[in-house]
Amino acid sequence: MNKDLSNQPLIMKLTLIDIRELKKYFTVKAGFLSGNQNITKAVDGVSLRIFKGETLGLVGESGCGKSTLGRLILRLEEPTEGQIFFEEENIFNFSGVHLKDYRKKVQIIFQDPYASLNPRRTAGNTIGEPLLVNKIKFDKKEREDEIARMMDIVGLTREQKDRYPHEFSGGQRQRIGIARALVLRPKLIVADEPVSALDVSIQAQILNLLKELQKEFSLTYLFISHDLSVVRHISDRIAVMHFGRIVELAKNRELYENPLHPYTMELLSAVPIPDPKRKKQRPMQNVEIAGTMDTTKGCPFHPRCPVKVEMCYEDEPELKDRGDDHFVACHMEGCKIRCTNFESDLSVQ
Amino acid sequence: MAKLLEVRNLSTHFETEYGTVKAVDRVDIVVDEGDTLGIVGESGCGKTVLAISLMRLVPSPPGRIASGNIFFDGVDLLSLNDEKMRNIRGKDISMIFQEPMTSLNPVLRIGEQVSESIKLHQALGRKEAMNRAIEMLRLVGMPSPEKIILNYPHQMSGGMRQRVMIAMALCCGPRLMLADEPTTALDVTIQAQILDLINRLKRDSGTSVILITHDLGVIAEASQHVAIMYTGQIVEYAPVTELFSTPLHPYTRGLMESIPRIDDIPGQDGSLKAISGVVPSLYNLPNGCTFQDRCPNAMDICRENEPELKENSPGHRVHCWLYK
Repeated sequence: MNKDLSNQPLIMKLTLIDIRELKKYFTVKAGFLSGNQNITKAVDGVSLRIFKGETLGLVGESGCGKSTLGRLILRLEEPTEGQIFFEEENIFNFSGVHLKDYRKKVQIIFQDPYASLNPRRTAGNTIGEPLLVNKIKFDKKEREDEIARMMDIVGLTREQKDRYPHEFSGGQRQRIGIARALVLRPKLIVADEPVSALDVSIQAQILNLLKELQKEFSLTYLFISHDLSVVRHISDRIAVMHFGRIVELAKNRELYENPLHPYTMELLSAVPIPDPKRKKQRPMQNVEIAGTMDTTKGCPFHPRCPVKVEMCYEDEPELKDRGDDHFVACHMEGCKIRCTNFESDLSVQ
Repeated sequence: MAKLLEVRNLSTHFETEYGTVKAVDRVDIVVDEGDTLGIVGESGCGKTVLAISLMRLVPSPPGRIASGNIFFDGVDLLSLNDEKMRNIRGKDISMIFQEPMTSLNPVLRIGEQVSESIKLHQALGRKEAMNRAIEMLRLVGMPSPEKIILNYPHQMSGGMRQRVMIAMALCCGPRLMLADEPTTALDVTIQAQILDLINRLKRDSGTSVILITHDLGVIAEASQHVAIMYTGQIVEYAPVTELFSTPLHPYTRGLMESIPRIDDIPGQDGSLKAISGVVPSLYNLPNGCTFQDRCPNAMDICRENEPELKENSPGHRVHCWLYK
């Protein structure tokens, strides 16, 4: 039997990032001339820890706020409320030199390798720019050596350093993006859908590369993705996000074999399995109609929820520990029993 | 079952300043009535060009259909004049385009867009056409279609827009529907609904479907036959259960091993088996088999001669020298 990642003890369970009651609201003008404003709660009261050396997968559908959470960690957005502590320092208090120093420790890999590279800059310059900006390796020779080393590490050849992005394939471009993120030796990398724009045969190459680099440089990843199959292959723990909240958080294997939140179950049952003999029956639910219903009160998932009770209309559930580091935000303690129509055919033989 | 579509030896070439690109290269496919054929391939393998070739929508110049026949219900579509082709397109053969975000007209109301082809093909008046459009929107599971027809595309979500696209494709009761990555831009829960919808409509109306995708999971759920495309050619063609139980071509096997599966935990070190290398440029294809540089089983003959798409077992064809 295969060894499961989630059963390996995390080498050091030291907290790298501690997110506390984080909120980020965006105001959207309702109309061109109307003074009304709508508030979009992109991140709505998230508390989460990321441990040193782990890969935390963050999954959810488009618009659930997972990218905003990633951007807040990078301090590309200012929060409406709440704090993020990086090695016990509140990152939103950083400014000047401290902020610059923080940005060296936390880097991002973007989703779209076609749009995230400057088309007029060579691969070598793209990879070397963080060194220039941060005034590290200011000597040209030293910098060139470092760029060449990074290119080797991510599987590009040194001869490709003078080429422009359009001369590379999608997978190679993503390698450039990874080298650029890695050149400052960060502690945390936020990978925002790093493989979703790539072809299937290339996805595996990049996922394997990310895993190797994690070992080599003792990196911590926040791996943001909508693809539950990809997340399963790279994460130690997984957080499921819905409407700006974390609704379930568990170790990798635990989440797939023993999902507790009805939303997680719905997501898992929606993933098509590449095996024609295992055609699944899904309850036909109209997700989007439900999404427009009033959710100002009670559990935000209740319009879609198959196991809701009266309490769900009134009170919003909190993220509670159900033992063994499995957290879930659902009133239905025994919802697993009620959800017998969900057959966990994902469990491993 | 009766053959609805038979494509023989179809090639679509593009003339560019760097040379001729064979985007679709000697493709043979058959779609029976009520059948779904899945076409799988990575970006640039020619699957979308194949679809627009079947619709005779290849932009010309630079593109042209260089050879072959497309028999639809016994009639060669390539021999028809433009007028006759227009009568088939949108009526007997319709297409669901890849991006619901960009393939709807942003300045026309939904009702007008859906009723346009009804007015064109069914000689109905404005009002009747609009009623029919409302009916179609209801059929694809749209809530309150009477209101939706007055909306513009930007007022709707991706899943809703994709439903509009499907309603448009279905409104004239097509016999063949080409769905080009119909769920790629959508969330998994919406994708599941759209696939269920296509399957249900197919069952109810007996429409044949060509489903183009890069997702083997989608193929497994929704199709009966599968064609795997690589550099413009079909490299393997088989019934769906056969393809997943005994994939023959090294590329197909590589694809199946390289995808992360939700029902499978990673191996000892957690790594996936990746296919090495990249897809060769269509401008500069090697002699012989185009998969040779990435193939774990490459032999001398693969670098010299191109294999043929040969039947290995009944209904299972493969384009590889390993099977002679």
